Amino acid sequence: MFSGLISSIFGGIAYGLILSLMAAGLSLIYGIMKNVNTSHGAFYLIGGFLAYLFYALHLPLIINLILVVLSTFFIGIGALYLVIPKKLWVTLDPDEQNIVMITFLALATVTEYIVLLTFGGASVSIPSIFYGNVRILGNVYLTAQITFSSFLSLAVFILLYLILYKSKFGKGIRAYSQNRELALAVGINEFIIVIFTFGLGVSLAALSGSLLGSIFSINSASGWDELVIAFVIVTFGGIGNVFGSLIGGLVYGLVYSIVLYYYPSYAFVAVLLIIYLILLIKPSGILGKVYERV
Amino acid sequence: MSAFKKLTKAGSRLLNKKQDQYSVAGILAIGLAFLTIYFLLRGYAAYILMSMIAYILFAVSWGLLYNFSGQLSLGHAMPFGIGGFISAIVFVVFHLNPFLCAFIGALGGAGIGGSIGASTLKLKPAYQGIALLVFSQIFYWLFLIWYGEEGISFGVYHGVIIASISQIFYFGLIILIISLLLLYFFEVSKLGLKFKAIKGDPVAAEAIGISVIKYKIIIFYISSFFAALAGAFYALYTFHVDFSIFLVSNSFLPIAMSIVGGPSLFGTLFGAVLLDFLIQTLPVYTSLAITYLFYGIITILVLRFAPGGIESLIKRLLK
Amino acid sequence: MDHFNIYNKGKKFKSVSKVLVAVLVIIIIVIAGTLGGYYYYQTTSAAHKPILIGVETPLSGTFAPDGQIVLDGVELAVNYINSHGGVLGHPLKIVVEDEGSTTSSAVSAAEILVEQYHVQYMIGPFFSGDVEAVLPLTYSHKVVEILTVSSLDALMVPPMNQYLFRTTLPDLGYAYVAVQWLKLIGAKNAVFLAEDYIYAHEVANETIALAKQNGINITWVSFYPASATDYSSAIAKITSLKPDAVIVIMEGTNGIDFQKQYSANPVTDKIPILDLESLLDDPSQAASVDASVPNGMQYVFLGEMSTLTSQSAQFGEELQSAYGIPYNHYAADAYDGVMVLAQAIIRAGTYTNTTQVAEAMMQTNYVGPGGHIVFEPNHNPVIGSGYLTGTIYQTIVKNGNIYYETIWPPNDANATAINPATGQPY
Repeated sequence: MFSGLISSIFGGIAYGLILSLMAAGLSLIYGIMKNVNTSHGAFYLIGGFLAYLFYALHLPLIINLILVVLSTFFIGIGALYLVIPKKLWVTLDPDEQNIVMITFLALATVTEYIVLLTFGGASVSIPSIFYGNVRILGNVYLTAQITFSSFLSLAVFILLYLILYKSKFGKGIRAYSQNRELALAVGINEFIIVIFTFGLGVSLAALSGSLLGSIFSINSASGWDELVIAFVIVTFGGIGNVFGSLIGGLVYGLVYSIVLYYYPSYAFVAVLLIIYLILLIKPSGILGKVYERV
Repeated sequence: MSAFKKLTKAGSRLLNKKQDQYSVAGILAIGLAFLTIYFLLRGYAAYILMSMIAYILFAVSWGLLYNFSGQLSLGHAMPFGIGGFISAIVFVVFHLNPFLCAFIGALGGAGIGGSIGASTLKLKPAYQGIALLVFSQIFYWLFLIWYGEEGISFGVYHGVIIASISQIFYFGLIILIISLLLLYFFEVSKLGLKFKAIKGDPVAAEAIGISVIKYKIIIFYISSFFAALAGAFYALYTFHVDFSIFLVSNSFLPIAMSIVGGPSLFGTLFGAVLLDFLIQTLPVYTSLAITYLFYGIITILVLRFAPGGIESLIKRLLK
Repeated sequence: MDHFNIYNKGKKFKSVSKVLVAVLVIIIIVIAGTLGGYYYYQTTSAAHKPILIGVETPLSGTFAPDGQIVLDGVELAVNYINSHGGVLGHPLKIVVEDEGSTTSSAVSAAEILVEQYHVQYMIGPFFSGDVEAVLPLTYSHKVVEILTVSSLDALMVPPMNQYLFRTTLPDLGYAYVAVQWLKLIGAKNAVFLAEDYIYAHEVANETIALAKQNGINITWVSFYPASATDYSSAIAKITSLKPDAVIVIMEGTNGIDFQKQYSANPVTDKIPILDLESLLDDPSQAASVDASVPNGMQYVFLGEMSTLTSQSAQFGEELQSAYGIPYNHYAADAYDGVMVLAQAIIRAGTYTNTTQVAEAMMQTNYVGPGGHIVFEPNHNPVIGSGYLTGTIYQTIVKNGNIYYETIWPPNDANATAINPATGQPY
C-alpha cells in the first residue's frame, strides 16, 4: 500500500529538483537585477520546443541539451536588449519595476503565440532517450529518463556553485548583488554581469523545459504553470538565494507529490495556497532575506 | 427647492469646468455612438458592442488601480472571473433576475478581489504583481476542479431564454455610462485629488497624516468592483462562464489596453475600444494567435517608445 | 511616466480633451461604417437562395485535425447532394466557423452563424461543453442542430432537444463498448480513469451501471484535470489494486502520456487496458509510445466510436481520393449527419419551417458509412447490433511495426484478443 505513496514521492522530488533549476534562474535574475522576470515561463517553453527541434535533427542528447542552453542564453540576452531599455535593467524604483514586469509579460505573450503559430496548438512530446525503469526499493520504480534528469539537475547545481563561488567572475556577481555601489567602485563591469546573469537565468529555465518535455508533453500554453511553480519554489527558498531554490524545489516536490497521491485534482491548488499564506506571514520567504545572498 | 431644481443645481455645479463639460459630453457621445451602431446594424454587431462594454469596464478598472494608486496587478482576471462566476452561480441557484445577479456578482467580486488585493499590500512592489498572478491561477484551478472544462451555461431556464439580447445590451450600455461618469467624477473630485497626491508623493502624504495603506485598500475594492461588474456582464451576454476566464492572457488584456491607450480614463477607454475591436475583427482575416501576438508586440513597443500610450502621441501631435 | 495633471486648467488641456473626444467619436463612426458595409455586403450577395448549413468545428488548437475531418465529411455529403439535384431544388451551402479551443470562442462562432448568417441548420459544435453553451442560442432561434461528435446524453432532454439530433455514438455507447470488452476478456472487476469532463463522468456512471448488470464490478474511478500530465499516483494506485482490467478515456496527448507511464511500469504493463477514443489510433503516436518503453504498444486495446457498414469501404476510398485520409468516423458521422438532415428536409417538404423538419427527422431510417441510424425518442441514435456499436482494436507490435487488429464486433473481427500478461489468446 505504501509503495504507491513512496513511488509518488520519489517522482515528486525528481520533478521538484528539475524545476528548482528554473527557480534558481529566477532567483538569480532577481538577485542581480531586482526585477521579477515574468517571462521566465516563456523561456521554459522555448527550452522545451528547442529540445524538440534539435531532437528532430537526431543529435545526441548531451549535444542537444548544450545547444538548448547556449541558444537560450543568447536569445535571452537579445530579448533583454530589444525589449527593456537599459536604464530599467537594474532598478529599485517600484514604478520602473512595474514597467519591466509588464514588458516581460508582454514578451511572454508574444513568445506563446509565436510558438503557437510555428508549431500549432497540439502538444508535442520529446521522446525519451532512456528506456525502462530504475528500481528504488521493493515495488517502487522511477523511469530511467527522470532519474537521469534529476542527476543532471544536481550536476548543474554543482556547476552553478563552482561558477558562483569558485570563480573570479562569480565573485564579481556576488559582490554586485550585495553592494552595487561598492562593486562598481572597484571596477566591476556592470553590463557584463547583468547580461550574463540574465542569459544564465533564462537558460536554466530552458534546461528545465527541455528535461521535462520528455517526461510530460508541452504545448504553446506551457510555461505559465511552471512560472508559478518557480515563484513558489523561490518563495520557499528565499528570493535571491540560488541554493535556497534547491531546497525549495525538494520541499515543493515532496509536498506536491503527497497531496497529489491523495487528492490529485487539488495538488496544485494546495501548494499555491500554502505559498500565498507564506507570502502573507513572511514575505521574504522561508529561508532567505531579500537582497542579501546570491 | 423642488427636487428638479436641486438636481439641476447639483448638475450645474458638477459641470462647472469646461473640462468636465467636455468629458461628460464625450462619455455621452460614446453611449450615443454605441446606441446608433446597435440600431443600424443589430445582429452580430450587438455582440461586438457588448464585448467592448465588458472590456472597457475591465481595462478602466485595471487602469484605476495602476495609474491611480501605482499598484500593479498581473492577475486582474481574478475579480473579473469571480464576478462572472458569482453572478452565474447566483442565477442558477436562486433564479433571481439576471441583472440583479450581475450586481451581486459585482459586489461579490469586489469583496473577494478587494480583500485579496489588500492582503498583498505588505509585499514588496515587485512581489505584489506576481502574487496577484498566483492568486488568479489559484482560482483558475479551483474553478476548473469545481465546474470542469465546461463551466456553467445558464442561458435557458425552463425552456425560456433568460433575457433577450436587446435587454442585455441596454443594461450594458447603462452600466457603462454610469460607471464611466462615476469614475470620471471620482477622479476629479477632492477624494480623487487626494489619491493623486498620495501616489505622487506617498512620503509627504504620510507626513500630513493621510493613511496611504487605507487609500490603497479602498482603490483595490473599487477597482475590483468594476472588474467584477465587467466579468458579470461578460458572463451574461454569452450566457456562459468557465475556468478559462482566469487565463493569464485574460489578465494581460486590460494591461495592454490601458498601456496602449494611455493612463487617463479616456486613454484607457480608447485603448479598450481599439484593441477589442481588433480582437473581434482581425481573427477573421488572420487568426486569434496573430491578434494576441500583435497585442504583445504593440505593448512592448508602446512601453519602450511611447510610455504614455496613444494618448500621449496625440497630445504630442497637437503641440 | 506620464502623470495625470489635472491642475492644468489651461486652454491646451481643454483643446486636447475636446480633440480626444472628437477622435473617439470619429473612430466609432468608422467602425459603424465598416460593420455596416460588411453587413450590407452579406445580405446583398444572397443569389440563388441556397440552403445554408452552418458548421461549427475546431479549426485551431489541439483538435484542429479532427475538426477538419468533420468538415471534410460534411463537404463530401454536400457535394454528393448538390450533384444529385440538391434539396427540394435548392443547393446546399456550407458556412464554417472555427469553434476554437475555448467555450468562449465556440459561443462567438455560434453567434456569427446564427445572428450574422442566419443559418437554420447546423452541424456541431464538436465539444459537449460547447454544445451546452450554444444551445440557448440555437434553441431560441429554432436551429436544427446535428451532433456528429459530441456524445453527452444529458443534452438530450426536452425541451432543449427539440431541434437537437445526434448521429454519432453517445456516451451510453462508450459504456456499451467498454462492457463488451470486459466480457470479451473475462474480467470480473476493473478500474476507470478519465479526464474531468462532464461526458467522462457520464460514461463512467453508465459503464458502472451497465457493468453491474453483467456481473462486473468497477472498483475504482478517478478523474484527472485535463491539463494534468503526471499520472504516477494513479498508476501507483493501480499497482496496489491489481484489477482485472483498466478502462481509460483521455483525449489528445494526455492519453499518450498516460499510456507511456502505464506501459513503463512493469506491474501495470501486464494488466489489460482499453483506451477509449484515444490518439493512439494514429500510427505515429502509437509509434512514439512504443519507442519510449520496452514493451510499448504491445497488446493495448483501443475502443473506437466508429461502426462499419457495407458503405464504409467505399466511403473510405472517397475520403482517400478527396482528402488523402483513410476511413475516419469523424468524417463518416458528419457525412451521415448531413444526409439524414437532407432526407428530413425533403420528407418535410419545407426548408424554412425547422419545426416540421425536426419532426420529420424522427422518421429517419438510414444506412450510411458510419452506421445504421434510427433515432430514439430522445433524439439519440439507437445503440446495438445492427445499428451503432463502436469497434474494438488491439495493437500488435511485430518487427518494430504496429498493426491494428479488429477484435470486435464479431462480424468485423479479423483476430482474437490476446492477454498482455501471457501473450496468449483469451
